[in-house]
Amino acid sequence: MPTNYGLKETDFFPDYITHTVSLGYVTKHSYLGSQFTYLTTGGRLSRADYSGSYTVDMIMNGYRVGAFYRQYIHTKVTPLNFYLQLGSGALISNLKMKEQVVVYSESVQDNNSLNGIGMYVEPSVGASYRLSRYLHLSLGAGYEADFFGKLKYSGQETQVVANWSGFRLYGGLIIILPTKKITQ
Amino acid sequence: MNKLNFIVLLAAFFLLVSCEFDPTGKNFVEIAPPESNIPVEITLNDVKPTDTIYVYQNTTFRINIKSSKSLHKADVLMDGQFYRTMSNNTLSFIVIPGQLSDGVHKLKVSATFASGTGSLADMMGMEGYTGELAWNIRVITKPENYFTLESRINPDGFMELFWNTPLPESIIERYMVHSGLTQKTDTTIVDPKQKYFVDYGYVCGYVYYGVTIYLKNGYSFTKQLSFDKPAPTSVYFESLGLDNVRVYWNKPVANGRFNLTCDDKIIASGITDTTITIPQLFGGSRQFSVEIRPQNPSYDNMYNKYTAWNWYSQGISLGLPNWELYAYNKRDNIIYTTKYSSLVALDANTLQTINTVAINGNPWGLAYGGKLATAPHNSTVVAMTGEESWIFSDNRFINPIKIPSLPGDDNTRLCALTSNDRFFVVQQNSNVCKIFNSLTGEKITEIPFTYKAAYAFPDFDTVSEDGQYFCASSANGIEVFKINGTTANLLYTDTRQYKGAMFIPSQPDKILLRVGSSLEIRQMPGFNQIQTVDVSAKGALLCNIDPASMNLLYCQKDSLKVCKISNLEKTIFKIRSDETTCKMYNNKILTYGLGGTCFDINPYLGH
Repeated sequence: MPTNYGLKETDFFPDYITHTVSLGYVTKHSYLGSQFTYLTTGGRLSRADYSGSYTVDMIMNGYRVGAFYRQYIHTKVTPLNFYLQLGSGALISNLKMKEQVVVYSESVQDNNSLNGIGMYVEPSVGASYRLSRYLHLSLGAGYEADFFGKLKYSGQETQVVANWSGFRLYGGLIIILPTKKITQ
Repeated sequence: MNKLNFIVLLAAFFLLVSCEFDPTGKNFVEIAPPESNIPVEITLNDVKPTDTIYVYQNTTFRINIKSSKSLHKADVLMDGQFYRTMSNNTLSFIVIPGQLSDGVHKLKVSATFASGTGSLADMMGMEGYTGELAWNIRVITKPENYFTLESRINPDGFMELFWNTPLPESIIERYMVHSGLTQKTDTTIVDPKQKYFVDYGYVCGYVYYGVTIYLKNGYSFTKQLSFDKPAPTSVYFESLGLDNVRVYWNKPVANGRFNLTCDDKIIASGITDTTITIPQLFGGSRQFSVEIRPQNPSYDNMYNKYTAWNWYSQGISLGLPNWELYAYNKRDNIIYTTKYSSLVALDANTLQTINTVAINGNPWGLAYGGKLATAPHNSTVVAMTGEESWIFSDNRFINPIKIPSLPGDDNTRLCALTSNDRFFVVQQNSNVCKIFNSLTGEKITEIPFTYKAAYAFPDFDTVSEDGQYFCASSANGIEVFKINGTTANLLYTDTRQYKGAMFIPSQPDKILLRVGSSLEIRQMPGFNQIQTVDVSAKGALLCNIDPASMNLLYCQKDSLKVCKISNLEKTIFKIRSDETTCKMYNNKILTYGLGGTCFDINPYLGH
């Protein structure tokens, strides 16, 4: 495949919504459990003219699996609570590269995939607002620091490193699934 | 966690995963599409593609490509196979004949040019212009090997060289033709289209040519051709009857001119036909020689001259040496003759040899002539040699009676056997006729006479077959004797000018005389004239009277003539001849000497 051909970035790995599902055990002052996060972003190099187009799409997905511990700091303003949280685990990254050239009636497509596993540590702070007995609203912010994460291509190590490190802003709902009958 | 909770959690997971980032954006660049065609110029040594490039030596090929667009790539293909590549607009390479097989090759230049638009297709080489041009290349490793030189006879009948070469005429400067045997100088042909040369100097025989082709670049090569066409070596004859003979010879391969001579006498000069009819001439063999030359005398030289020759005689040759003698025995129908030192008996009809006997003399024998005679009444034959006379009783040639000291030669005036068993001899410069007994060889008597013959031919001294009459004549007169036993009585004499005399065979009382301007036959014993012919106009030279046919052979001017002895005025046969000493026996004219040519007149009698 050609290496340049006037390709220009039309999309360059922008910040994107990160989805996290946590499953944990809630006590009066803490919340701990496991956490799964799906991270996705991507970029595009593009060139097109009357003769055809040349597009290189790079989609980066991350699958973060880890554990977290949240310590609530109760305030006098019930139902608002602040919390401190620390999460850590493994981060599996996958970079999908889809290269497609269409020139006149000829077209060529090439797909490649790089994979890698790293570690992350994410301290965060936030607040939780209890909307109901079984539903809490949570807002928070943190910083994810990634380690390792070199990607491999067909088992061969490359120089490409998946680095999802950065600030995170969270907003979410906490659904309380009761494990025993609560008596008030 | 109950099952519902788990399903909700799993659904949430896949929902999240399905929210994969989707890159967006398109970088579209506005570019004008390229033109449909662009001018491209591809040149190869400034040779038109319709022309053929000939490679017969190391040849530099220069390919030049001109275009308004940049050359992307150009491949040079030889017979469809990659040969060279061009990374820029010019390419030079040398083609060595040995690197390519002889024959026609296709050299193609296939060039691709960028469109120059800067489009993706342009950058990827998927858009552009292609142009190709092909030339035929004919490789000739050794042009001289393909230079063919042949010969033919052109429609006008002349030898024509023609050649061919695969090289185009456009590169040929001239031809040079060398023919040392037929041309005085080399011939230069400056028109390359003229691939032939007419050699007017060639008629036949061996010749070699060299044709050199000079090319405009100075290269030259030569082809040689030599051949040997048969030249006429013999002259042939076809008798056209009694009077004419056709002389012809094989036509040489090319036109020629011919000079025909006969015994060094020019018969025809500068003729172009290969046949000529000339009058017959009976006598000895004549040597005909034809000289073959170029038709145009200006091409004559010492090499293109050929000669064909052959001998011809009217009649058949007996294959005898010169100066053979003849005698005829009517009773046995045998012609006696001599061959070197041998006495030979021939069948008078078939002329086949019956018997021979060597008569070796000391030293002459029959080697240098002699005299022969036969008896009219039996088979006796006598041969006078250079030393003695041999008498054989018949053609068995046994127990000869030899008469010593009785030599005979060409000049012996008379040698005759008579029916009374006598042998008459008159020797050269003698005025005595000696008479011998042919049975014993004993001498019987002599007859002295006055008029000695000055010549041995024709007969001047003669004796009748019965031995009763003896005649001696000369230019001064004649004496006729009547012989009685051993005595001879003068019967008649005069002083006329005699030019020959002979008693008539079978008619012993008649004598043929050539006297004055006449032929006369006179009757014995009175010497009465019974027949006369005036030959004053043309003359006449007596040869002999054929005992078999009773025809007289005589010479008259340029001919031999035959008439019945009973009618001297009527010529019954005539043949052109320059021979005056012939004899005729059994109607066969025989030359004296000249190898013994025989001409049978029987087929011509009665016509």
